[in-house]
Amino acid sequence: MKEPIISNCEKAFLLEAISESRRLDGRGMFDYRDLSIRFGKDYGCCEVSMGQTRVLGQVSCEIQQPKATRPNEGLLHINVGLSPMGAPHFETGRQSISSIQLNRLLEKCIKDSKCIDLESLCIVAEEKVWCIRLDLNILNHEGNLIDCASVAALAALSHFRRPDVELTSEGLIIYEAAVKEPIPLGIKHTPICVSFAIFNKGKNIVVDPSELEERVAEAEFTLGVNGYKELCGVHLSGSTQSGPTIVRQCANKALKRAVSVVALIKETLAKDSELRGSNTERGFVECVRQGTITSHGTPKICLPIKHKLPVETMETNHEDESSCDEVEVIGSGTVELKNSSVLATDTAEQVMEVEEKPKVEEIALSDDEDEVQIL
Amino acid sequence: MPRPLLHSLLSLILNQLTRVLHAVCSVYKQNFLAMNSNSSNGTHSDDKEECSVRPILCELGVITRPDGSAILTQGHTVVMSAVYGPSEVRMQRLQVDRAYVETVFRPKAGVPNTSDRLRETIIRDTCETAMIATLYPRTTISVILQEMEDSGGLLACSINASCLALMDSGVSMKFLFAAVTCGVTEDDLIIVDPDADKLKECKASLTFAFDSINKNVIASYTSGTFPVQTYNNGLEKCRQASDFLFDFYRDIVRKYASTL
Amino acid sequence: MNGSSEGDVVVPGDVVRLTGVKGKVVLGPGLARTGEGVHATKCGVLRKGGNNIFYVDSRQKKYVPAKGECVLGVVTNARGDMFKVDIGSSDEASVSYLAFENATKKNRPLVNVGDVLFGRLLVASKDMEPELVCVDSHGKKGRLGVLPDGGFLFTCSLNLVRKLLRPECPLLEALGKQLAFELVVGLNGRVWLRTGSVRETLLVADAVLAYQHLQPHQVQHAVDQLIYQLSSS
Repeated sequence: MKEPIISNCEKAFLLEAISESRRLDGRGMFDYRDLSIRFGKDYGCCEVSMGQTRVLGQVSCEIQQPKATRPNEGLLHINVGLSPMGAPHFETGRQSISSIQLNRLLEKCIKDSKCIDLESLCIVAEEKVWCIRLDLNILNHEGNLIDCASVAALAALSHFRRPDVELTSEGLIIYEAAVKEPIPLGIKHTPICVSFAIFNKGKNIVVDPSELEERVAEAEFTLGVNGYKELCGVHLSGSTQSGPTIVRQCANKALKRAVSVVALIKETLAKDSELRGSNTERGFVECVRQGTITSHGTPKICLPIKHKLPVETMETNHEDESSCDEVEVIGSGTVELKNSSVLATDTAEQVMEVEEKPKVEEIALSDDEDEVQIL
Repeated sequence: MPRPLLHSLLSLILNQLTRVLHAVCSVYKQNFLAMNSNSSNGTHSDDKEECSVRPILCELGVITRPDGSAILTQGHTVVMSAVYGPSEVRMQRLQVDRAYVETVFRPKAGVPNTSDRLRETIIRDTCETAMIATLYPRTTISVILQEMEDSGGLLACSINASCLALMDSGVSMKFLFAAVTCGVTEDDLIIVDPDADKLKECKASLTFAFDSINKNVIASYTSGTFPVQTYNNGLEKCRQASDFLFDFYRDIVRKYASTL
Repeated sequence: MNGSSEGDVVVPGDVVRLTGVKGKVVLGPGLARTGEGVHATKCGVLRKGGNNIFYVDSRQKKYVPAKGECVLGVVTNARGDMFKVDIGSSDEASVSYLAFENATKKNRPLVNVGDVLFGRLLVASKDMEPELVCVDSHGKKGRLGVLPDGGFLFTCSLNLVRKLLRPECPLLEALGKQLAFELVVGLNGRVWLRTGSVRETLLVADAVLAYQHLQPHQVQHAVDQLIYQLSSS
């Protein structure tokens, strides 16, 4: 599918707004969108949203043979999947320019800056090393994918734990999480990307550009920075004519941003491990916002399953219909709360009326086993 | 695996199953009277336990880019779904009389493998049965599913999420559909909507998708071995559990209807 | 099954009962005739328009062209005899260079790629490419044609557009009392807006988008807040 065209009036309006120091979503020129990080139930799984841009990150690992040139180092693969879910013009199975660019930028920022301690991933030199694979799935593309993806990458890598291994005379033993506590990756520094969109020959710069801003901007400037205020990657796409001050200005902004983002990741990680300790972690269930007009949920469910024989429904159509009606009545609000303990805890919980009909016992298998086997 | 082969394999399995189903029904009819007299002796003590399904949460229109989207959690299994379409079709997939329905299932780690492709096919066939594809000739309708967390019943959750996304997208459908998974334990008991831990103890798992009008079976997928009656029993239980999902769908629509 | 009647919430497969209706009945989007009766095919609220028109009001973002509807499109190709316009449907719409006011073979209308067109769908069938015209039956452009510079185009859902186009729209009425603005609403879920300043445009656009999930009694409050925001800075 083609990317939809931007009309001239949108472009002109955006540029006019930017030159008045206004942005279409009401942010200031140097305001970031809300960043939220959620960790899943599994290790190394996180969902990061920056405004409406959403990225899902998952780290996995397996044992492989190392590269001949680096026999005592583990491997790290970064794979950004531009899932067609993110935007209509993303296609599966095809490497587009934007996905290669995203991949390369992240590799530059994370892999080439030696963020992960790869030597600690070595099990037997020249034979067995851990291969860490980082998958990033773009769920929704509303601009600034690179920043969102880099935060997801860092959060997933810091959350991930690989199983413990031991070399014995009989071979390699991989311990399950229940047996031996899994080991986190060695992370040397915390790189993230911060992007800027440049308009009007460098006169106007905005941080965290939205999709429309990205497409209208004359250039996009991405900086890889870490929590220790160090640069670890610079990339300029597009072309703009402006002085070197712009680079310094952006770098200063990016460094400040990195410190706050890294602090947020650490804070969320700490909360997650606390929840894990108390065994109350909820995983991605909290991704579903409740209380909005389009969301819905039933926290506790008991089904009125009747142990009815299939023959009954097949022979008497009439009965089937009447049971259908009953369900409708329940759905439309006249819920009878039968379970008193549930009533005490939360009145909103729906407990459907359990049918009082004499229940037909489940069919025993013994009698007609022979007959079935003939079939 | 090439698609035609997969198709024929699937249809073969389905055919076999329906044949078995018919056969079992006749067996039932013969034994019905005898059974009925036994049934009054006592009911299952663990009725409630095995009949509860995991908590469900969902949100429609959860992401902004697609034409319809939803996130659905069933217990700890979380799936995000999106629908694009009816939109432009590529020449080689153009069908003059109906829409080309495309399904993409994305696992959260690694590249899609054979089992993901199989899942895609089941979901695609289910969606295609439900929607009125002939209303949108020469177009593509894509249903994209993203696994976010799997703790049992991923296929059922994906099918339900795709139904929610289709509801949100406004694509015309003949009926809604809902899928329910049940597990079969070693002693042939049926657990409706088991989570990952319970599923590990099961020797087989059955997933059925039903339509909302007659509660007929649209899709059936099983793994493991089990007696044929168990299949029938599980089918009936899942069928009853699907009522809950259809009510759930209606409740969502009712909730946002006030703003239409 | 009793069947649903006007104002009910329906989901696909529900039987719709058209009682108390005499004469010809028109089934709009979201309803289909199947053998014995009428079924809903979309989730939403069953509504009845004038002339016994029944339809289902549903959430939808993707536009499916229908004949006679006025839509907003962006020109993607302005060469040749037929211009191509992206109206958000599966196929791009075409518009003849002669379908503009005063256009002749010698006097080509001035249309550039990226311009926003407001046109009426002359041909819209599921089997054919949609075709637009920018003149009415008298050959006059009326309100159709290329929209002037200085506006802003944004997209929204189709049911929001229908909500805006209802004969009495509380939002536009309330806004109109306080602000001067030009608004063009295309049934394909696009809205073109022009006001005196960037700030006003942004605020009105926000209000229009927020209207999607506003209930009628909340509208006045939302507009008051907006005007307060505008005057406070």
